[in-house]
Amino acid sequence: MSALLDVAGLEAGYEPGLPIVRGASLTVGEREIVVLLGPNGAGKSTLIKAIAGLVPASGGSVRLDGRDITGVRADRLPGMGLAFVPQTENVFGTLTVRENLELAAAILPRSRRAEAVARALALFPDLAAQAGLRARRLSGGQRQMLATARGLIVAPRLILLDEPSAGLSPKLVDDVFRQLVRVRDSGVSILLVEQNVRAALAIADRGYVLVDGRERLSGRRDELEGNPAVGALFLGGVPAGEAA
Amino acid sequence: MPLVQVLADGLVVGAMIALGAVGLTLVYAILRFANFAHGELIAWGGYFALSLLTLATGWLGLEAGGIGGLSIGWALLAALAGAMVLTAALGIGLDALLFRSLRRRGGAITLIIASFGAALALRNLIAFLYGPTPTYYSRAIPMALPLLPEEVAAVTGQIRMTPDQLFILGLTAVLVVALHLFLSRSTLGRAMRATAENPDLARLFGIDTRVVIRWTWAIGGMLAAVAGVCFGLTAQVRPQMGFDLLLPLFAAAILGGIGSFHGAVAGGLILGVAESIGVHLIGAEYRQAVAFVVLIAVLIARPAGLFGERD
Amino acid sequence: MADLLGIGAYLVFFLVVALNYAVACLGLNLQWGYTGLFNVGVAGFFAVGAYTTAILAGPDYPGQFGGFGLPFPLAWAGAMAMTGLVALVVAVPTLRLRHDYLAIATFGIAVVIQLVAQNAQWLTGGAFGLNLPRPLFDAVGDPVLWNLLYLALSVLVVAVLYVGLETLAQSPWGRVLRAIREDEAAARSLGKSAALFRIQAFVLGSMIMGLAGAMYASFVGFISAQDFLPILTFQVWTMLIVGGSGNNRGAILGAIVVWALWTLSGRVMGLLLPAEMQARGAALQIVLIGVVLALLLVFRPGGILGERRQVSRHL
Repeated sequence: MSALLDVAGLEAGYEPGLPIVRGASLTVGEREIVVLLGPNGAGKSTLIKAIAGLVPASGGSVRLDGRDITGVRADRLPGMGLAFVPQTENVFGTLTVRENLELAAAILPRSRRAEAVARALALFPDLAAQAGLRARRLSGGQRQMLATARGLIVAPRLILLDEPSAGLSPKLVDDVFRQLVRVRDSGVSILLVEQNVRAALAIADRGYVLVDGRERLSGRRDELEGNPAVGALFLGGVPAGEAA
Repeated sequence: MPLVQVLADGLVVGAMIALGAVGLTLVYAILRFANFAHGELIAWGGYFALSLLTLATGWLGLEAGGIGGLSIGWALLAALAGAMVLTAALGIGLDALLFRSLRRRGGAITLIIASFGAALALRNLIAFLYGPTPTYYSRAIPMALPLLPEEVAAVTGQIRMTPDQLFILGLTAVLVVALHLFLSRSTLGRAMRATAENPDLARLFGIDTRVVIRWTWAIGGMLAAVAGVCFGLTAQVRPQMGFDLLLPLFAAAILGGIGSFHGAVAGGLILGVAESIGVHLIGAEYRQAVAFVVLIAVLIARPAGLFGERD
Repeated sequence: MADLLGIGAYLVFFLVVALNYAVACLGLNLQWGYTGLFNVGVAGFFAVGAYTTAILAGPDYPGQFGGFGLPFPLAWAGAMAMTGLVALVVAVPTLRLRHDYLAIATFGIAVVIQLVAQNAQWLTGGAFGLNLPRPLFDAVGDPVLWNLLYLALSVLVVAVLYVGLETLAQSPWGRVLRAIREDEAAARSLGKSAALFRIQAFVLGSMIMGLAGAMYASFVGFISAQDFLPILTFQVWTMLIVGGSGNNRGAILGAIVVWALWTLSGRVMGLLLPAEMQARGAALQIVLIGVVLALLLVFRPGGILGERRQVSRHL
């Protein structure tokens, strides 16, 4: 059985000849939360952006449900079932909450758009109350919700999230992560980049540790949690005790 | 001349500047460079209409005469519609041949110098093809009509405008409202606003930014053609017309906050009135100096413009 | 033999004009090549230098401002000072803002200067232009010899400017300019002082353009608004881009090469087109040069414009 997302030997970077991702491989299965960990500068964000088509790949391949999507333009991926939510600047501040959602829903057939927006707002009741507000006036947590809701609106098979907990209070982080579990249970797979190792591993099914642009360790949640090497990789970042 | 007349004349000029400035500001918002060739789209729009007018009256046999008191007839309206399409195509073609490949490699500066070169080439191509002599769409001399009732005019002074001038104001109003609705309601309009704010994020929303860029040029080109034809109607059609409008366009766009659609409309109207007052006070030959003074004043006092939000 | 002399005399004339452009091109290189400042108003600063020279050195005409009859070194110094002053007016409000604003403002000042040149009869002679004596022309007597001497003077000026600008580039001042150009972040961290450096480079570069205008006026002895059209700005830019910006030797070489091509294409156009098409031929020549510049920018961007890397600003 092939995985939903299959990344094999991917090389990618902003400048020709200077790859930041150097031969990374990973898979994400159906209904699975996979977390991508690693020290600062390991290339996690670049890897996820390369999968999403924002950073050109210079080698290797990305397959979604068996279909080669390497080098496919970023704007075509939502229609193919892959959504990406960046870490910052992930909503349009000059558009209202509703306009953000309607714009994302615009790739759907006309008859399904209104329903998709309504469903997204129902999933995040906090947002529904703010639907007419310009997104730049939202709080950090609400903005993250809107960004996630936007990613889900096209009913993707897989959603990529770059540090959804960044800048949120611990209480909000719990909210967001609980939400992710519900999203997974609704049938969407999630690939997640996180600095917040403990919170991420708490909800993940599997994980990878990326070092110098390729995966150094991988395993199920319990394998990674029990592996002292995981903690050792986060020297100066997250204390070993916290990750283990 | 009564002040109300000066203001009314200014609004007509301002309407044309606004049409040009909106295109300039949209291109700036989406592509982030000051396009020095935008004035030439206006000039080309004017000349496209001139050629099509000859075609329409000559080959199609459309009536050259005006409708009602206008010097604008069905032939010129048809020519205007055709010129809008051709100027839109010119904008898209310019982007495809020149700006797109520069965007991929260089920074905004390369685009500016390229647009400066394109402007010179386009302007001189007009001079080469059509010759340097100014011309007109119609030789008819329009009658200016009094607009205000006698009682009001006795206090404020009378406003006289030609039907053509009223047509220009009306057409500009219709286009501005249409564009406002387009940008706020339609998916494509929202996609344009989104791309202006953050092109990479727009692509993640499933927006094909290349389509957005093409429409930006198309809209800018169509509005430029209207501005060009209006300029030809109220003044004359001449190769320099785009160049002469460029400084007012920039001043209006910056006054309104560059990248802001509503700002460009307001900036255009304000600048038109300011020019009209300036011409009234110091003479027509220094018309463009007014735009420069406004430009420098805005840059000193409020570089984000009157309505600008971003840096 | 007479032909050879004619060609030689023409060559001297050609070189004087080319070096005149080279001076303006060196000024632009200081602004754009060294500091990354975008000046679309070269023709305007050139015009200020030329008119100031004519006013300071020219003879007295009734109803006409000027006619101070100053000796040429003083007139040229005055021309540079005046150009610097005009540059300051544009630089102070714009140089702390985005580069587009400087481009637009310099374009604006050039338009205004053109208006003054055309319309302010009392100052610039309007359509009639201004006459001025050519330095030592009567004392030398022979026009060909005078051209040769003027060429020597032009070479001297270009050489002095070249050495001066190279020295400046190596100085701490020049290194700061390059840092400002290379690194927006570094420029921002310098804050106010970065703006000050930019203003200095802009004003100095404009003064050099003013000097070019002064040399032009003194060489031809008559100037009018037609001499300072936007095409002049475009020519100087093309010269700098062809020669390679940031490189003073390139700026000089570019000026000579582009002026040679310009002159040649004008000749060819003149031969090919019938007399009644000559005015249109000039327009076509500009179209062709515009296309050539566009092709250069598209196909030879590296090394020509000192292209900068740009990583996505978003996400």
